[in-house]
This record gives sequence, C-alpha cells and structure tokens, in this order.
Amino acid sequence: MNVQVTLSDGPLGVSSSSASRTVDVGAVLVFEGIVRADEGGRTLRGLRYEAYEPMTTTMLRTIAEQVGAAHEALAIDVEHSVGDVPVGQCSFRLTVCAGHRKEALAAADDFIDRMKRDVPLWKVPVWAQAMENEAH
Amino acid sequence: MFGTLAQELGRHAVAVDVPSPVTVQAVTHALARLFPARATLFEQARIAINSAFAQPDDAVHPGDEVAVIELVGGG
Repeated sequence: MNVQVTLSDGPLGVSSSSASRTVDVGAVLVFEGIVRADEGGRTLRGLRYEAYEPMTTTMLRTIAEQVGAAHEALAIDVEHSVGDVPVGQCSFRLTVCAGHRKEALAAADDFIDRMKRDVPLWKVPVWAQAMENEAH
Repeated sequence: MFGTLAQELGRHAVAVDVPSPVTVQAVTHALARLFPARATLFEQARIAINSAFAQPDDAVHPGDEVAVIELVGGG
C-alpha cells in the first residue's frame, strides 16, 4: 500500500495527492477539513496549527499504514497544514483509495479518529475579537 | 509544550529540577509542582521522549528531548 504524508505551511491548495489509481481501485474518497468561523460561540479569524516534527509526520504515516492494512486500502495520502489557516480555508485533506466504498469510508473514519487522539498536532484559536483589539 | 498550553504558560520550553533517577513520571510531577494551576493536566499528559510516546516509568537521560503531548486534535 502506498502512503504519502505532507505537512504544508498555511492553507492547503489544490490537492497534491498522487494516490495511485490502479486498476484495483474502485473507490477514491477525499475528505477535507475546513476551518469554521465559530468555536464555542466565539468568532474565529482562523486557526494556528502546531506540529512536533518529526513525530507528527511519523505518527501520521504509522497510523495511515496501520489503518490502510486493517481496512484493505490501496493508498492513503495525508495533507495537513501547519501555521495559520484563515476561516473557510482547508487545513486537512485525506485521500483514500480502496477497492470498494465501504473500505474507503471505514479507513477514513478510523484514520481521523486516531489522528485526533494520537498525532501531535495542535490547533490554537486566533480570535477575531483579539485581532481587532490588537489593531487598535 | 505546544498549542494552547504553551500559549497559556507563555513558553514552549521549561527547565525543571528532578532528582535522580529521572523518570517520565518524575518530570510530570515536577511540572505539576511548577505550574500548580495546571497540575492535573501535567499529571495526566502523555509524554514523548525523543519523538516517541513514553511510559511513566521510562528513564529520561541527559540530552533527551521531553515533549508534553497534553491534547491533540488536528484536522
């Protein structure tokens, strides 16, 4: 199985996934995480992501390999932002190639759960109000 | 330290005195004493040594990098 992990500074642009679409691939699932404007009733300007390299990349790769094997995925590409990502922009993209829909969906769900639990990636809120105060 | 914890404490790194033999648990206890308002967080945090998760009884050697992985949630 092919696994690719990419950390990029700032918002993610157009997918750089090169997940192999071989003749065995029947399902390609692309999940994108977008920064929402609301966090617990307060308005965000964006999120600032912090990684702890090389552990972050290592953990993302390890989890992708384990999840891919468990769900018989054929390829998993992980793209995640570090640094500042404004509201409305993409900070996380997961591309899963599998033989069938159920494997791809299960692998994506499992991967995201484990990423949120085990990967050292922090998101620090950048509040809209704070930015306004700093400007004055 | 990272994320909102580092932001709250105003630092990403801190020095603590820990009696020998130094273990992961001894480091978290020292951090809890240094920041009593966040003692529970440090006592419950997962610790990584040199970029790998460690257990409470694992030894910490001179030159090791100790990271507090208190709360994650990317994506």
